[in-house]
Amino acid sequence: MGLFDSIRSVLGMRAEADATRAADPEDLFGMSTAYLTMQADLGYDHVGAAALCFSSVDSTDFAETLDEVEAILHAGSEETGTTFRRHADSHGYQWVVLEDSDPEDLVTSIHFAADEFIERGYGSRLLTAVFGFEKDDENVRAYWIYSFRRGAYYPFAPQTGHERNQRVEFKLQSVLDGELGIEDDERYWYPLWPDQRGGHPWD
Amino acid sequence: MALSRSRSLLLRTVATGGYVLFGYVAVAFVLYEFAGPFGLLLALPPLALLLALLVFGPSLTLSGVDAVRVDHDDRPTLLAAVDRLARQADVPTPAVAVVDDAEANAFTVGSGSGATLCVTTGLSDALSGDELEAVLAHELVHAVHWDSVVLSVVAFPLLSGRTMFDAAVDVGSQSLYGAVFGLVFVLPLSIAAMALSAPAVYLLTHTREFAADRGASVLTGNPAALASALRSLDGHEPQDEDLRTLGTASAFCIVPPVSGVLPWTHPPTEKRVERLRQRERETETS
Repeated sequence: MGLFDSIRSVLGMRAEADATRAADPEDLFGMSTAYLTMQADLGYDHVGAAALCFSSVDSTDFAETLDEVEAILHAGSEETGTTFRRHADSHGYQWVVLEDSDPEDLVTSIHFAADEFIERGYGSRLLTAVFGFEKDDENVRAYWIYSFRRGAYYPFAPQTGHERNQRVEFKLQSVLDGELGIEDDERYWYPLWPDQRGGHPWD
Repeated sequence: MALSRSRSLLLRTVATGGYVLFGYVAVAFVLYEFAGPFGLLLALPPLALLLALLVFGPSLTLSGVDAVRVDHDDRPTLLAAVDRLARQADVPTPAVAVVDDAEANAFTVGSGSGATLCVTTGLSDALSGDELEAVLAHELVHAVHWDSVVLSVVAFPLLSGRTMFDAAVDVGSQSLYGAVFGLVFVLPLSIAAMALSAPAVYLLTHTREFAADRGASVLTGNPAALASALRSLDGHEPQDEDLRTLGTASAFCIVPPVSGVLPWTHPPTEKRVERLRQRERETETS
């Protein structure tokens, strides 16, 4: 924490400033090259899926926004073959899960969906965008999580029994630093534990 | 394999070394100017003290902390790890000693082939296998770099200054003559010695720690293990509360649960981990 942050803490301005910092959906395009680096430098394959996590609002306008998002993704699926599904998790959050063998299309679709939410004034309902990676031979799973509230990425490598593989997270952070805007305060690296053993956070 | 050192670390070591040597030579010069060859004799007792410190310091330290020398039969895995690292560093295996202390710690006494690597029993409990190996590598690099000798020479003026200062205050409070002698002569001298050597000691200890971290990650080929060792010794726990369990309202104004306010209490561990991150990056992308 820098001196400036400390001053803001002491003045009682920090929480508000942090919580209202606007996320930039353009940050999501950082994943395009990150997919290449993950493969070329670290040997991680993508899992063929990425997801957007948000909390819904009980309003007609929000329902229309969701319809709009689905329409956009549906149009996209005809063009690129990216399939999508909606899913509600046990924590009460909604997910849009996208599947495609081309990571470029995943990034584009996630961006389209997030952009639509933000355009319609529901940017504050977006929680995270999650991109999955795996190393088959070592049975390691890792995720890049983009926090819309913090406007920054962080790595998340879950292990069985709610443990985090800190080595993997350290490696991902070290190598992708500079390519992705990474959250430097690790206390914000909140996990998204998968509901099922061996599942993804969005399952 | 030779231990590579980054240029800035080397530069800082050379600069500090030059500054310290200049200090020693300057003192000798001043003594010679004011008292002739006899003045140089005045420098002999402190030099003898420094020499004694270098020769007898290590064994005194070891017995002071009740370190017990161990061999392959006592601690096979520990010794095997040290063997492996020493071979990688191309140096003879140093002696290894264990201190029965629950607090996790490791240190090196002595230098070069006469060095002893000390670990507390708490250390092997607190760390995983490759984390422990990373810490041992760090200590081995201290031995290879002759850090305890270098540090003794550099910190000697600081330690003597401190001793003189305490003595001056002690003597000064007992008699008038003592007070005059202590205040006029010894006190300024000791303060000057401390003020002039403190920056060098600070810079050098930091530089050598970074150099040992760097050397250790070259020896083990695993900067991440050293980083996680440093962090677990520092009491660092990863965040394990699910983002979604923070509750809808608070999830959107996530503030870390505990927040430090003073920037200068930031532990140097983070700086060391930051450098290890650079190493990791170099290892993976070069």
